[in-house]
Amino acid sequence: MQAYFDRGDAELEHQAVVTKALSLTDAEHESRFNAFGRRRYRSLLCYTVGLGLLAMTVAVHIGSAEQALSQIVQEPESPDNRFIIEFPEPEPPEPKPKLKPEIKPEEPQPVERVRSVPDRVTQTIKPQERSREREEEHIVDRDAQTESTVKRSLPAVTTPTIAVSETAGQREFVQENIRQTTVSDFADLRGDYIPEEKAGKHRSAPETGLSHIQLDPYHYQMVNVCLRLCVRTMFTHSGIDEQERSASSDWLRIRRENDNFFEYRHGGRWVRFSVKTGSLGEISNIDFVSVAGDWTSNDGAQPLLEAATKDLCRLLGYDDCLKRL
Amino acid sequence: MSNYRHAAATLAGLGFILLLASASAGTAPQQDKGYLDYLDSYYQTGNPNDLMLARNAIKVELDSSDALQFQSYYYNAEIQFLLALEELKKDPKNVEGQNKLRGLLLQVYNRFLDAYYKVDPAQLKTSSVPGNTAFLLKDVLMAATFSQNANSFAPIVKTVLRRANRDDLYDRQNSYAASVNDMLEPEYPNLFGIANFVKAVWLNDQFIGMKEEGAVKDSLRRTVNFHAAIASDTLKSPYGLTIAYFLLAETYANHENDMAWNYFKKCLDLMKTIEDVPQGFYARNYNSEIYVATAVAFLPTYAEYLYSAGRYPEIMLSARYLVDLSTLDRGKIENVAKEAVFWGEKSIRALQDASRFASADELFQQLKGFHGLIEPKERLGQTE
Repeated sequence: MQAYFDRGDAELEHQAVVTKALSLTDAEHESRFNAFGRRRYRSLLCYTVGLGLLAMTVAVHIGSAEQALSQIVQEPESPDNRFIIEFPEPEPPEPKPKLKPEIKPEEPQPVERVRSVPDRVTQTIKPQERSREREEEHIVDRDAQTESTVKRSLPAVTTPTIAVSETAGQREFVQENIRQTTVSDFADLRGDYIPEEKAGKHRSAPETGLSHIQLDPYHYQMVNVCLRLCVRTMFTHSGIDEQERSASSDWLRIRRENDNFFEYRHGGRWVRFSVKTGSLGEISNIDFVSVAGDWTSNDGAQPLLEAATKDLCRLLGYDDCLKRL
Repeated sequence: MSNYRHAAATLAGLGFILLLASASAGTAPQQDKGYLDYLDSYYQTGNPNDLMLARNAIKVELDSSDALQFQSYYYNAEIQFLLALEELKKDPKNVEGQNKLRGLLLQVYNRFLDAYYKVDPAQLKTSSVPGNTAFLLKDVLMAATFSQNANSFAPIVKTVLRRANRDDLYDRQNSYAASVNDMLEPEYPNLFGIANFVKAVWLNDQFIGMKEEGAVKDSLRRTVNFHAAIASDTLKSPYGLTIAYFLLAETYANHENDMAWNYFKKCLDLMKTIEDVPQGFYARNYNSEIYVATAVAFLPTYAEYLYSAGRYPEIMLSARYLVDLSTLDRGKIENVAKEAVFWGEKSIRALQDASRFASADELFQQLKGFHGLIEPKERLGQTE
C-alpha cells in the first residue's frame, strides 16, 4: 500500500518536472519574448486608436462639408436660412374613416332572361284591307229572298246596309297589347324591384296561356255561338213573342225597322248592339254584332257580351248555352 | 399651302369621326335587341332572317358569362335546329337534311337537360325552364310536321312532358304544353298526327277570333283545314277525331257547305258514341254543346245553300237530323224548326211555281212536323 503511494508520488513529481521546469535557455528566451510582445501590442493599440480618431475627424469634417454644400446648392439665395430652425410641416391629419364605407356599385351581373311560353305567338297576321264585295253580293241575295218571303207573309228579314267597321282591330294585335299590359302590370306588382323589367330587358313570368288573355277565344266562341242563336231568333222570323217582350221590357229593347239593333241595359245604362244580319250565317265571324262607344275595349266588351248572352239565353230558352256560359 | 392641306385633312378626319359616331348611335337600338327577341320575332313571323340575326347575337353572349352558358348553349342549339328546319322546309325529301335535323334535335334535347339540371329545383317555375319546355315542344312538333319519320321524335316529347308534369311546369288547363300532353297519351307514338292536330287547333283559335274577313283569314282557314284533314286521317282516338271533324266543318262552312255539313254530322255522330269525354285542355273548348250549337248556327246558311241549289228535301232532312239528336234544348229546337218552316215554305212555293205539285205536297207533309215543334215553345214560355 505504501509502495503504491510512493510510486504515485514519484510519477507526479516526475510529470511536474517535465512540464513546468524550463531549461535556462528556454526561460531566458521566454522572458525576452514576453517583454518584446508586450511593447509591440501596446504600440499597435496606440496606432490603431490614433488612426481611428483621425478617420473619425476626417469623416466628420467631410460630412459637415457636404451638408453645407448641399444647403448652399438648395438655397443659394437665402444665406440666412441656416440660422432658421425649420420644423417639418405638420402632416395633414388622416381622414377619419367614414361610418358608411363607400361601396363601389357592383357591376351588373348577367341575369337569366326568362322565356315566355309560346301559346299565343303562333302566327302574326298582317292587317289587310277588307274586301266587302262578296259580302255585299251576299246581302243583295239575302234581300231578294227577303222580298219573296214577305210575299209569303212570313216575318220579313229586313237587312239594312251594313256599315263597315273600320275600327275593328285584329285580335292578334289586341292580344299583343294585352300581353304587354300584363307584363307591365306584373312588373309594377313587384314593388321596388322594377327597373330592368321596366326597361324591357327581361321577359315577365311565363305566359301561362289563354287564361291570361282577356279575350278567352273559346269562351268567346261559346258567347259567339249562343249570342248568334239569340240574335237570329230575335231578328229573323217572328222575333220574340209578346210574353217574352213583356218579361224583358226593363232590360231589352229591339228595333228591326229601319235599322237592326237591340239595346241591352247593363250597369245602369242602355248599350246599343248593332246587328249585321248578313253575317249571322258565317259561324267563323264573330263580328255579327258591334257595340258602339267605349265598349269596344276588351276589358269592357267581354263582360258586356257575356251578360247580354246569359240574359238572352235565359229568355229565349237556350239552356245548354246558359249552362256553359 | 401646306397649312391649308393640314386643315382640310383635320376637318375630314373630324367628319369621319362624327360619321362613325352617328352611325354607332343609329345602330344602338339594334344592339339592344337580344337573341330571344329575334327568336320571338321568328316565331311570330316565320322569317328565317330573324334566325340568322339571333345566331349572330348569341355568339357574343356564348362566352360572356359562366352563369348563362347553359342557357346560351341551349338557345344556340335551338337556333341551329330551327335553321336546319328552315332548310328542310325547302326540300323536305332531302335525306341529309332529315338526318341533320334529327341529330340537332338530340343536341337541343341534351342542352335542354343541361340547363334544366343547372336550375335549382325550388326555382324551376320562375326560371326559363317552363318557357324552354313549351318552346322545345313547339319546336319538336313543328319539325314533326315536316319530318318523314316524325314518330321517332315521340320519346323525346314524352320525356320532356314527364319532367314538365312532375315539376308542374305548365298550366294543365290552358297552355300549349297541355294541348300536347292531353293528346299524347291516347295517340302515342303518333306524333305526326298530334303535331298536325295541335297546329290545327291553335291556328283555328286565331281563325275564329279574327274579325277581319279577307285574304289573310281565308289563308288561315285553308291552313287549319289542311292540318285538320291530316289529323282526321291519322288520329285514332275518337275524341281527337271529333275535334278534327269539327275543325274541318268550321273551316268548310260558307265555302264548301256540303263538306261542312258532312263533317258536322260525322262529328256529332262520333261524339254520341263517346261515353267519357277526357277532361283537360280540350274538354272545355270542344264539347257536345259547342258542336251542336255551331251546327244549329250553321243550319240557316246550309238551308239557304240547299234552297239555292234546288235541293229542297235536304233542307227538311238536315233540320230533322238536328232535332233527332235529342240533345237540343228548347231554344235550339225552336231555332231549327223556324228555319225549317222558313225555308220549307219557300221551297214549297218554288216547287209550286215550277208546277212540281207532288214534290210540294211531300215537302208540306214533312213541314207539318216542324210546326208542331214550335208550338210547345209557346207553352214553355208561359210557364216561365
